[in-house]
Amino acid sequence: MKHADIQKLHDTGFITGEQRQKIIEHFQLKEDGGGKFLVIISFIGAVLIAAGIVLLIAAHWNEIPRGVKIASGLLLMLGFHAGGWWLREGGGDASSPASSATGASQPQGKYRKTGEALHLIGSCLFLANIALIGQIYNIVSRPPNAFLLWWIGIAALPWLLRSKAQHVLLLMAFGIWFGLEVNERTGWIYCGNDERQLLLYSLLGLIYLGAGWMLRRGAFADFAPPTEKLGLLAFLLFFFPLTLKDGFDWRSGDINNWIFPTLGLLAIILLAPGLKNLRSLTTQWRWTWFAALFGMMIFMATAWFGLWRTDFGGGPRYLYWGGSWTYLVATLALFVFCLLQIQVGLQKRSPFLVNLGVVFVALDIIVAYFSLFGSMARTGLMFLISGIFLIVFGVYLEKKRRKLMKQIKAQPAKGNQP
Amino acid sequence: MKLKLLILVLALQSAWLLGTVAVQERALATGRVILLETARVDPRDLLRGDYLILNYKISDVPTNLFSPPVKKDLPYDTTIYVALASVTNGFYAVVKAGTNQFTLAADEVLLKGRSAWPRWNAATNSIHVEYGLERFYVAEGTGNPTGKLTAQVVVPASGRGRLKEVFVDGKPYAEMMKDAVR
Repeated sequence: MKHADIQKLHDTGFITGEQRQKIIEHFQLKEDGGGKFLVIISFIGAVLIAAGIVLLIAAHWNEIPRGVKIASGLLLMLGFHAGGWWLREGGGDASSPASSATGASQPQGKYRKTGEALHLIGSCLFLANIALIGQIYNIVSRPPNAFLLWWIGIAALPWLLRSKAQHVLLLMAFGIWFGLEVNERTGWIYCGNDERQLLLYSLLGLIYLGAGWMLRRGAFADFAPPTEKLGLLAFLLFFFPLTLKDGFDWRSGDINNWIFPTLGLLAIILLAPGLKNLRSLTTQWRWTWFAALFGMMIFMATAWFGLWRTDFGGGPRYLYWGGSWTYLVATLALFVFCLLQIQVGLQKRSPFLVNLGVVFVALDIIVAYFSLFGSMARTGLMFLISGIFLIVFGVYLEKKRRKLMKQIKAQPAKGNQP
Repeated sequence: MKLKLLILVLALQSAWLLGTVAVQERALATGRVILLETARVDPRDLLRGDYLILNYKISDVPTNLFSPPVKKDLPYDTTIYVALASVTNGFYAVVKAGTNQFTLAADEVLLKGRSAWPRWNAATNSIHVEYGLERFYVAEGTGNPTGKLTAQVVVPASGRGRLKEVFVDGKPYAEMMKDAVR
């Protein structure tokens, strides 16, 4: 049963709009490829328009008086929001009322996605206008401040417009601000000139993941999937450099050591209670998944505090740490974590979790191949043993699964016997 | 209700933008205009485009002008006040400096800055100070002027200077670079 089939039934009059919506919600049917393609095209268009306007501003046209520039920037921003609202809320043709899986009312316009794209441009133009004013008045300020202001300015829009695109933009805006603030020497979370800052971004990913879990139950449950996906992607993306042999020879810089434990605690505070919202997993798998994430956090903490270093003799700061076992442990940790993630993905029927896990397992193997765990012979032998182990383990798991399935099938038959 | 809230958010965004414009315009209109000698380098900002980094003669403040005296290990990002006075050809130079605000003579202008990285210049025994006047945004591809650069700065009572115009050999920057491109 496809979304399009239900739409056809509705169009021919066999079912009402309300029935159509109930069926779609019950079977969690998603819009078909054509609709998705339109959404993707609309959002790429929105990003291109916003980037184009930012570049036009950056080109700096002296001939245009500053009043005209400021007024144009403001009118464009407000105009895109007005157009977006009109299209989303039923300007022109309006389709039947819709509601989300949580029962919250959705915009009724026929061009909802296009309207959302226009709102997205409007939000990007707020940043462009901040930049424009900075350019016109030659304002010199801390770079993160502009992004913080942007983030504050658009913070209410995802909730007001009930827009996933705005929500993702908000998460990205916060990420950009965080990255800039970490590298700002006058900042209170300064960790610049130190590759360990990657661990902070990885932790931020876990915080997003936990926030996504928390969002699952509530009025904004539809914001949960993009939050979780972005969080997990960021977590793996920024963890991955730890596996590079020569890519993580950090300097012990003038950093604030308290940031990592604080962010870690925040991640746990969000992940632990959010765990109960993973209803598609059994209790055992929920805890396994949490333990995997927690284990990775513990490993990152050991890397943050330099537990795996080999030739750092103490002494003054700003010393180059030439040797570290971090990459070895990180390669193994990422491998095991990704296998667990794939298993969780299969349990949850989440192609995203499975595909992401497979991609990072592949990257991990490539990195291990080139960085070598010792000699070529030793690494080769380790690969062989690991490969054989995985295949045998797979056969064992499959046998166990079949046995369990057999037992499950046999149970009702036994129960029916007098 | 939602529309009203959206209008409120957009009004707040617009108010901030217009408020910033108003503060800048007021400072430019009411502050005292001074001339400073400067030199440039030209990088690019991804959001705001090409700009010149201006290094002023007043950016390096000799330690002997500080009262009370300061050490070379003055903390980074410390607020520094300098008194500027017109000395040669109408250009302003530092005559007094301090980490606390002080009273000015009638012909002096107070400019506020912060100790920048690197703070201390051993060769000149001076502290490097940034005033928030170090960037001048220019049209794309025109960040390579040849000639003497002069900056026109407006200094309001708060001491936070605003860069109003940069001149190349006495001509406004945009005009000069337009001629150079032709």
